[in-house]
Amino acid sequence: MIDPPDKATLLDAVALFLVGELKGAVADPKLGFRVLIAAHLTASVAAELRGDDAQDAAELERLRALLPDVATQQNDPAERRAELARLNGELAKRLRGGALDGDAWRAAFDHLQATLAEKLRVVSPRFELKPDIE
Amino acid sequence: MSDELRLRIERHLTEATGGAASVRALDPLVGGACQDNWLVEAELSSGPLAGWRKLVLRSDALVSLTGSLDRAGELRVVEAAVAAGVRTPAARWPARDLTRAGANAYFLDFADGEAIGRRVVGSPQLEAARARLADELGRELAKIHSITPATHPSLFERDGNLPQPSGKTPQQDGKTPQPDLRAADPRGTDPIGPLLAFTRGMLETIPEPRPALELALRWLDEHRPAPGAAEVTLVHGDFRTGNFLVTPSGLSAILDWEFARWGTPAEDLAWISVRDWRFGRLDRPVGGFARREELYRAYEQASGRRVDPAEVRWWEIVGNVRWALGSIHQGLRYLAGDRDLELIAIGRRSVEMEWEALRLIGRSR
Repeated sequence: MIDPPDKATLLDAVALFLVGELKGAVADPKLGFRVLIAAHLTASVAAELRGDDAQDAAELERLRALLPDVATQQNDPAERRAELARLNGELAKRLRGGALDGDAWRAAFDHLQATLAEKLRVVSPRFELKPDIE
Repeated sequence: MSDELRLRIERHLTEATGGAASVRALDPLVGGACQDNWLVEAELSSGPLAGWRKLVLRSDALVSLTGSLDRAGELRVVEAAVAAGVRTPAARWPARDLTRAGANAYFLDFADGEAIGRRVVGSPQLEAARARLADELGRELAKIHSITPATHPSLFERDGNLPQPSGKTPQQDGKTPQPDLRAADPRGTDPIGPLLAFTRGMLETIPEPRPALELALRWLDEHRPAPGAAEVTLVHGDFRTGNFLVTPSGLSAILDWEFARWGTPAEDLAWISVRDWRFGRLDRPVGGFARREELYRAYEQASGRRVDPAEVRWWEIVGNVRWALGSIHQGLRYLAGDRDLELIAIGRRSVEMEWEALRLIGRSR
């Protein structure tokens, strides 16, 4: 294991450098815009690293409740990503085939909205999540 | 400036206009994903445009987006739009092999104005223009939608003179073939089925499961607008803030016809309201600058059609699903070797459009 500072702290430092120091020194506006994109990506990966475990665990718990017939109780953190991918593949297959309706469809819908909201807080923290936009 | 390209352009303009032409300036413009554009300042000695002219040379780029026209196909659409009175720059003097072997190109009259979305929705100098923009755009859309398979039966039919799309296509990349929207329905009889099939094809070429998009596509399929209700017309296909020019006195020009095809009017009316094209002005559902009723009223008056808000809402969900898929595919282009930071950044934003599609479905139930 590499000694601290940790990955997220280092990425935040890079994002701060890009916006705080480099951006102002770039005269070409197109290149300046790309510096901002780089800073945004870097900061969002830092946020992803910080939230990873809790977010994955919450998504997995909901998927297990939706798909009890195929879910395992595998709790090894190293296998979690593979289990998430497998269950998301199964959910996608059932939705594509129209296998979910009524309450099951509603539960899948609620789960997907919750998952997208969790992703957005990392990927686009300023994205407006309120439901009543005209 | 490339001297060789300048000389080739001078030769082409001389031949096309029947008199000497000299190019004084040639500058690359920031292009879209499937074309290269140059600003050309030329002195023409004869023809209807004799004199000093600012032109835009628009050429096929090396990579084309699936479902987009090449410049030869686009030229025919622009000509039809100009003839229908649409406010769009005239396209002239088609060329082949001018900028690159195998590439189709043509010239557009230069039009002035602002196209950058953030400025169109926010610039103080454009405030008066924004107040009448929805009205102007509604009238322009009515003219675009006056072009139909009945009035222009062969607009999208490929014939011996029409070159194949240039550049890389997914088929040539060796990936899963995708349905070609134009080939599926060149005569324009069903504006919904081929489009949903095309969208499904885009989803199936993504390596990871996307359950939110599966849910949305299935919902769209099960809630299609009533069969027969959807009239078939030309659609611009990318009618949104960013693809028209605005000056302080109002709408200057509709641009970017590469996604034009047979579709149905509600599609164009919906795409301009897709959340990402509001450029942060969520309170202005039409393009970030107007209320829906302003656009619909102008469109109804000019076209004689009735706008069904529920049908438009269905197409707005389609728009979000398609833009989610489009952004994922831009991210995949980066992974396939097109090392542009913006491509991979856009790919990561697809979750915004997925959220929006589900939000709209939640409100429609």
